[in-house]
Amino acid sequence: MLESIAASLPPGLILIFGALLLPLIPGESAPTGESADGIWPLSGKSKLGMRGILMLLLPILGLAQMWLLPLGHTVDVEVFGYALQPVRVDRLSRIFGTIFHIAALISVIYALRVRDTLQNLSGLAYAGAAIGAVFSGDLITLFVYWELTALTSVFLIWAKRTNRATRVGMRYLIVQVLSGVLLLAGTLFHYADTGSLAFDLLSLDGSLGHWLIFLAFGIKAAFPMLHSWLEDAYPEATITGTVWMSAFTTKMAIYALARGFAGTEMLIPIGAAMTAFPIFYAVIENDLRRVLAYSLNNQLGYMVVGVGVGTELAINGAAAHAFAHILYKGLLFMTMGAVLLRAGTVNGSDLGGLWRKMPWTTTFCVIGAMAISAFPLFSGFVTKSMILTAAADEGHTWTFLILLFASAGVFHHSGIKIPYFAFFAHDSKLLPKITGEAPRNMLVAMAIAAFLCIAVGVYPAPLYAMLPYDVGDYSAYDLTHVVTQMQLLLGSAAAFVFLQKMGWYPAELRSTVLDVDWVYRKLLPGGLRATYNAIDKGAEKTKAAVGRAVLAGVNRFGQMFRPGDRSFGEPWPSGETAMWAAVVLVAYLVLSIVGSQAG
Amino acid sequence: MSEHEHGPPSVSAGGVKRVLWVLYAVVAIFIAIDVVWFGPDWVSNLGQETHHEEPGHEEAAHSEPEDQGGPEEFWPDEKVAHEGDEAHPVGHMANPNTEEHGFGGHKHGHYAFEKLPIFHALYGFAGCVLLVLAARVLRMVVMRDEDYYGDDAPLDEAQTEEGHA
Repeated sequence: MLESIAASLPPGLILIFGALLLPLIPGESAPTGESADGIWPLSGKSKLGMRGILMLLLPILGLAQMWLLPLGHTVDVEVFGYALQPVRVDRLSRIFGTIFHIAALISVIYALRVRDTLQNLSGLAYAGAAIGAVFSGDLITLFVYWELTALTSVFLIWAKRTNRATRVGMRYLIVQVLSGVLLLAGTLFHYADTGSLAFDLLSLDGSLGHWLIFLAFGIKAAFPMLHSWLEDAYPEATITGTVWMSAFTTKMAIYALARGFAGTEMLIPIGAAMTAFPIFYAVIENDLRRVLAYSLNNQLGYMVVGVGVGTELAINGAAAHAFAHILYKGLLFMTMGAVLLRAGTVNGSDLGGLWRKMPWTTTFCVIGAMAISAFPLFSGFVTKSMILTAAADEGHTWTFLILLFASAGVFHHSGIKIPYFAFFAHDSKLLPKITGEAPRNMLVAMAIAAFLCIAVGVYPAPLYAMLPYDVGDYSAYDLTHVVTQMQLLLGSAAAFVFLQKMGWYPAELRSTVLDVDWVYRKLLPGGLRATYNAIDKGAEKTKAAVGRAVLAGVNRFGQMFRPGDRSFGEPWPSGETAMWAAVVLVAYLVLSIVGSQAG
Repeated sequence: MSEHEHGPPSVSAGGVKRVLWVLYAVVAIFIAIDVVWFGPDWVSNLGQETHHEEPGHEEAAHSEPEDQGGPEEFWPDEKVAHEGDEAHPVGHMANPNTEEHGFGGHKHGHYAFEKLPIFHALYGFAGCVLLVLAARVLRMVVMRDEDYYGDDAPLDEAQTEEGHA
């Protein structure tokens, strides 16, 4: 009975349609007095209300419905003669669906005080779209959800309602929609080539369609050079918006790569580059939410390498790492959101000493930092090692070394820098203004994420059981792995202490750090403006020159008839007239002869 | 950290010292495990690996083990990697041959360099120092004013008019 009800609805739609109900339910008291990014009240008790209950129920119902669908369940329909498969349940889609629901639930709890219906609606619909995407069995359904994630999530930026957010949101939307357009174009080429719309393993075999789809996935997965939308947009969303956004779009792209391009060799160097280059930026970036965005990009690199290696262990590693990553990255963004709420800024240059006022947030941040750094007993440790082992198994030595370097670097910027500059270092001037801990619902959301980070690390068996392939007797815990990983992390910590003592650690400075987006934010507009100005100036000059010439000609023509001018202003002398008449006659004669010859 | 922009250190000097001592102690523990527990196996392996590859030089291997650690042996070596594969087809598993060496355990890995004592500590340290120094150079190239892009500026008239329309 329950199964048949569950089977009648594609996963994700509960969240999307449920979100659309939100505005219809009478809202709680509108924010009066101080609020930030729609969060109200800023402290004290808050009523859950009907909307809050619905928001909490949606991800729980969605998760239950999803798990009622048996593996292998599909829904096939025919639309205008095209065979579509809006639902396909298998182990790969189910693990992503599971973590997306959990992320949605945590985000909802974190956002329970948000009295801005726009944010809550778009957040839930966005999660629903991402869930729908991972259960899509065909490329057209995937495209629809793919675009829907863009259209829903942009409101989490625009909800900030500032000039900056308007601009950032527009840039974000353009890039995201571009990805969708490429996906659609690729799908059409693929259909023309194969006659099928099924979303299964594609390959970079020279088919233009597959390359376009690869590029579309690459944009959302934040491949190097296609990445800067992420670092541009995520830190500019609302406090809760960034938490929503950190979970879905990029991991949906990782899922799509794992489904469509598993074992594509090219992904290995791409992923390795992704793990390495963002950490250099993370070291010098001042906005701590932007540091986390760079670190997110770096973590995606591990998953991309896993997909590229493509063995069962590697795909398991990519899926497991996505699962763990969503939890600890969400947790870190939640802690920085709490800091932004209380201190009004997440600039490292303005923060410090917040542990005195926000001890719980500090604790949760440290847990998230240890999880992302892959400390033993934390989630990152049991998932990242699968990818490194798989890369080494296949003999990708340089990739292995880069991943190892990036692991040390992650601890350096995410594990140490974030907690250190936000909560410790030197007491911030803002400290007296900070009223206290984050609101209770935010602490609960952080606590759940922190608990899961530790639970997965201590007892990974349930996660391993969900992975796409049988894990066999793989275990991350043995003395070699624990000792080597601890050494790597401690070496990284020692480097931090050493650099601080030597005064070599770059100070946190208020600044903008240029990235690839400089090309389309400065170079291209500047270049176009300069070209336009040059053309405009040139045209002005030409116009002026032509105008002057015409004016001079007209003047001269006028002067020719003035009395006293030798042209036409007075009678010509008879001899001169006779000479010109003779010249005209001779010319006429010559032309007549030439004309008759030609005729 | 530009101290002039901030107040006093958030944690007292004594607190910082205590944290650092804990850090040093933990570093020492994990280095000690590596050297004391895995060290004997590594030393004996040097001889064994040489034994497999060059049986004729067995004596030399035992008398001058450090000579056998030529750069190519520590360098990424697929042959070594696959040797590791056969012993541990899936991930890191206990090595059944540990008892052979008497005291200590076998440090496994895909590459010879992974088995070097305290390789990971040195790699982590050196990697992060280079990372930060390189980032400082990068900053010289890419750092601009906070309002470089002017994103906070009011949307221009044309945009506003379109918005109203």
